[in-house]
Amino acid sequence: MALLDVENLTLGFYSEKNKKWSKVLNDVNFSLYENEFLGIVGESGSGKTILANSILNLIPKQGKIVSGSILFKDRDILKLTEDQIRKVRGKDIAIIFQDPMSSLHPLLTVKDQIVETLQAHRLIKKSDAVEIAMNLLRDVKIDRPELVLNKYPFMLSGGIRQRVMIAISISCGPEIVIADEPTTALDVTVQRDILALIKGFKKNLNFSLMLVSHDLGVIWENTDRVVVMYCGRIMESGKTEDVLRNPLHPYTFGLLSSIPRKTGKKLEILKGIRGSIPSLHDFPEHICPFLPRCDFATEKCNRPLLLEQVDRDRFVACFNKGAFK
Amino acid sequence: MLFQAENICKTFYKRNFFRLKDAGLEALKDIKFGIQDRDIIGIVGETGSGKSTLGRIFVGLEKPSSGFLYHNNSNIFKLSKKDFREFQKSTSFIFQDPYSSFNPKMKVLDILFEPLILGGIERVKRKDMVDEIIENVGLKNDDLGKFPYQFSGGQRQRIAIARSLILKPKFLVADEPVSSLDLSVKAQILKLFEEIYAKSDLTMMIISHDLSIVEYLCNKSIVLYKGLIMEEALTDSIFANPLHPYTRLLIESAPSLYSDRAKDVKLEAFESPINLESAKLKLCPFLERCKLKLDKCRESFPEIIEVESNHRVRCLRYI
Repeated sequence: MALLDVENLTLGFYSEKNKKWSKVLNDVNFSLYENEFLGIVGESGSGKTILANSILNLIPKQGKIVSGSILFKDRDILKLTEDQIRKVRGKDIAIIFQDPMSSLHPLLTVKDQIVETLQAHRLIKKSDAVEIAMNLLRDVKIDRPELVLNKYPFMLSGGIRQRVMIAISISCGPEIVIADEPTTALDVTVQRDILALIKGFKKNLNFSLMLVSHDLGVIWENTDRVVVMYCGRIMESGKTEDVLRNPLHPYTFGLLSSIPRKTGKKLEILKGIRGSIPSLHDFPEHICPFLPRCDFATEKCNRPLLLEQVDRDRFVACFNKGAFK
Repeated sequence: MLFQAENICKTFYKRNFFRLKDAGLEALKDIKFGIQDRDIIGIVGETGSGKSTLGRIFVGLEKPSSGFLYHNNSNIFKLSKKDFREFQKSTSFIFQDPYSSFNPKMKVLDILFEPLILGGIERVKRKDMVDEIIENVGLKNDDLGKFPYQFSGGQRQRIAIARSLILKPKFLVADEPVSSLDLSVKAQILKLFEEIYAKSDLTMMIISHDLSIVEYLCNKSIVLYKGLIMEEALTDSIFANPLHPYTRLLIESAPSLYSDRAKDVKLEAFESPINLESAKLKLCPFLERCKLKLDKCRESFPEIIEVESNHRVRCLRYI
């Protein structure tokens, strides 16, 4: 059974300058199953982050839900009141943001921030909370947690900050953890440790994880299922092996061929994609958004796009599926 | 040899209340290598390894605290003002962030004119040179009248490349040229670098934390760690046969689309926030993180040695 169901989610942003509404998310449908590692992949501006944030109802002021629902345990998150959603945030659904420097409070120590989350969701004494905080830091493999507890975020390195973020996110035993580019700002060696850490927790604590990333290597090594987004739409989704080894959408194919790949002894970039992603207010609405950049487009692409099911758990939004083969 | 770096060190000092030098941060230590004509040399390392500082020294933006940098056998930091200008004209730099490296109030045409004016190019020739370069980097003529904010990241990086190549330099340093770009655009820019290299007589230095970029573009690579050269070799031999444990760790850690998914990464305790013994005693800076350390690593500091021909490594395992 699905733990989280996103159904026909359409989110509009109003632009004061252009005096029009643009769809940041356009008819997004997907499910997150129990104990699953789901990847959301796409270039910047494809709507990955706004999708992750809207699951916690963290939608910026200029945005408005046009239609759709996000069902978590048969409740529509988008219809909850602010008080109700607060009980869900951090407890049932936790989020790890991209940049730990701007998402940790700069004026509070690590201890204060972990204790704050714990006390917000559980009735415990402060001294007990501190004890739990200490253990959490030990769990995220921080050497000498007692030293880190009393430090401010700016005193810590990027890797340790992200570990603190992870400690906060798992502190209340969430059922879903959303990780929005958790390792983008970090070095590869630190990235590897952080991802291994998240994976390890997933095994022990049994939560579902939604990993938002633009790095196909990270998605390949860590996820069970993947959703490919472009211009606020889902282009392709399915099992990670299927999508990344046997892509059906020209966009997925283009992304994969943009990565240098070993052919024989030399690294080569095979093809790539021409052009670049349009800005939000230029998203084509009634045709396939990828049409202007697509090398395999035909006349039949000039009509509204639909996400079709091609196999069990495999969806593709393209009229020329696999045309590039 | 186009460039020869001899024992370059760079220390940054904090100044205390009385503007006196406080404890220093050694960004680069004992850097020694040569760049030949037509090389594309890759500098790899993590944040804080000193790779950007090294690039800045090579174009004369930063002065080393000690050591020499020879360009065509003359130390560039001992040149007369006039010769130094000539040297700077023959070198160029591409910055990491295509958003903050442009004056937002200048149009693209003015951005491209500025180096021409400073380079003392005659007025009549300027427009032709601009036309030539924008065609080479794949921009359109209409783009010249626009402001930087009207472009996407990839287009801006193209403008930055145009600006740095317009005076036809001999040597180009690109500091993380594609790290802020999207995957599809990254591939386009990497291909552009290749084209430019093939068309001109450039020598390049590519600074990147992304190993695949260095492997893709460069013929020689240098691995930096905490300001020290850990390994230096031809790119092919570094990636086929990494000798230093740090290089191996870097190559292993890079997520790859073609890796075995089943592999399980072993977790290690993270580096402790307090300072490390290797910094106090003069030891290998990688000691605490090294999985292959030997007993002698706790006793002496490794010097860089040539293990195979053209493959130098700083590790006591090979002594």
